[in-house]
Amino acid sequence: MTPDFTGTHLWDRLCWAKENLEPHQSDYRVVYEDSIDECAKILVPDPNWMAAALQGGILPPVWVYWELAKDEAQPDFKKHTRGYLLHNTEPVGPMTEEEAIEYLIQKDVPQHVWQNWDEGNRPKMVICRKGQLPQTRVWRNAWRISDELAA
Amino acid sequence: MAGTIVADTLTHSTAGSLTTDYVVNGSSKVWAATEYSSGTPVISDSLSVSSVSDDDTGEMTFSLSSALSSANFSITTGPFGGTGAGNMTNITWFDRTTSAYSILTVDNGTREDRETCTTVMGDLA
Repeated sequence: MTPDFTGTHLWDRLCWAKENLEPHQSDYRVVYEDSIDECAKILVPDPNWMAAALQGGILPPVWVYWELAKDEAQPDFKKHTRGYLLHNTEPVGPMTEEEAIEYLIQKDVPQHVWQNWDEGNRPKMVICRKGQLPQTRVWRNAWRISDELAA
Repeated sequence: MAGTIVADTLTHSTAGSLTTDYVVNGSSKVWAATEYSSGTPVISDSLSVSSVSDDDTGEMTFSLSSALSSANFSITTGPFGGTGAGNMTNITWFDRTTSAYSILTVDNGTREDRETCTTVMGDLA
């Protein structure tokens, strides 16, 4: 059972999770195109992070990361002054693996990709299983999301 | 929180004292070890990492769970490489924010996918 981490520094919560939870290697992958001039990127969840997401009571809500990203985007940004959002905001409850992937997309994939992933001529992002990806690295930097994908 | 010791100073019986600031500020805040499985990287173990993004051949971005206070943190990298003569693997970081950093692996002048270890030293947000 997760201790009551209210007001506990996020890093301390992550240390607790690493010590007490079994890592979970997810089979999900997120393929996305950040720029039309670059090859597709593949997001791979961290097994310790996934264990914390499934457990609940450890990770902050994803909007906290958006707030910090907004601060960092300011031209005069030097260092964070609202780090307390990570530590003092009530942690989110247990997630399913699918919910955790959705959280991770909103945290680690650029917003311009996931906010309108299915607008335009072709999808910019696909959630798939590891086994659906090419199994060798041949032509890796030419990988693209197939035009034939149905959203 | 159970199991917590609150102390500002550690004192050795003969060697002197050390404030715990040194321990807190001097410990690694993020680390990750990656390997390749079926053509894509996986994180074999880590601390405070939420994901790794396979961006291109030899190129990866690590996203952090607990952000650093500023982007002026230190990244140390180490490759897993062959031991043959002339085998020289180089890993450099080339981009960083308070919540992510990107690395590039080059082997004998060519971008290559290699198992890596990275460590971050810096102040947490």
